[in-house]
Amino acid sequence: MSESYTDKELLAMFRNEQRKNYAFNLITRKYQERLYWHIRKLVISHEDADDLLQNTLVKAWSALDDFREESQLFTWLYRIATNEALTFLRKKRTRLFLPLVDVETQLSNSLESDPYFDGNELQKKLQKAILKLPEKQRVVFNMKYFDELKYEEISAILGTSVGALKASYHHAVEKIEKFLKED
Amino acid sequence: MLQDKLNKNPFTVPENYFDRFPMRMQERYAFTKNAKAGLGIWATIRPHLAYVGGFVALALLAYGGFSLAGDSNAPEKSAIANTKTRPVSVGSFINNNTKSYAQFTNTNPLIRIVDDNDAKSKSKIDMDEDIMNYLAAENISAEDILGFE
Repeated sequence: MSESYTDKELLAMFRNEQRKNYAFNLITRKYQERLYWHIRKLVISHEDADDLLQNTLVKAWSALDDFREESQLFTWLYRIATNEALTFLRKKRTRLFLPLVDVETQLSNSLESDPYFDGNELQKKLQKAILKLPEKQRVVFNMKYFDELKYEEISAILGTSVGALKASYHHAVEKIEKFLKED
Repeated sequence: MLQDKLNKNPFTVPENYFDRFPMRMQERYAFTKNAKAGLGIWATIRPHLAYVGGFVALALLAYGGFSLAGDSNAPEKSAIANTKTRPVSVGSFINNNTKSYAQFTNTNPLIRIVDDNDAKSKSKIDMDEDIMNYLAAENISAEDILGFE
């Protein structure tokens, strides 16, 4: 049902005080899955992804009145979700005092016992390889490889030039292929 | 290798997660709204509470400072306080002490003569009488006294 409304219609509905709740419910239904998977691939754990998706939508609700439609609603939501996930990981990193036990290693280990991971050994290995990438390359790789977003869309979300994104993605692919060939 | 359809999503979610999520979000919005309403009152009160708290903290610090400074003069203060709480007039102090001394000297007449302090503490008339009484008691005449010289 929510798919049948355009973003413009949903935003117009949201600005009507009496239909605000209903409009945001439709926005949630329309984008929840894409946002969830984007966050989930960055933080790995379902519980963390669930919390962060809620935080993302609460922030979007609070700021949607000021949204000026200079960018697409989807791009804007994606940006909030990315920031939420990266802030979460940075906070987690500062909580771990031992440099030997970095967050990425912790996430990589958690994949082994994750009840909501249904991939085969190669997919698990790919996820572990992605976790070894620098933060920015990880985000770019996930958006391009899994979410199949265009460079222009990623550029609008991350505020990075298309050229820089292409370079990031290229480096990420090289590192991952090297990692996969090693073992 | 990355071309081999590895981009299939390997993660899953609990059953009906996405069906229930919008309902959970509605509850979360309601909770956030209520929390914000509560925060509105709190936001109004908070600056005032901060001022009051600051004032109380300063008052406590000042009180603590004065108390500590006062403790260094405590012995003198307590001595003064004791004097003030139990006022004793100079007259009654002398009377009390003279009386007790007089009682003592009545039983030990020799001390009365020898002790210079005793003589000072008594009136001249009393002393003369004491000497006369002593001489009478000891049967010492005026000639005897003069004969000593």
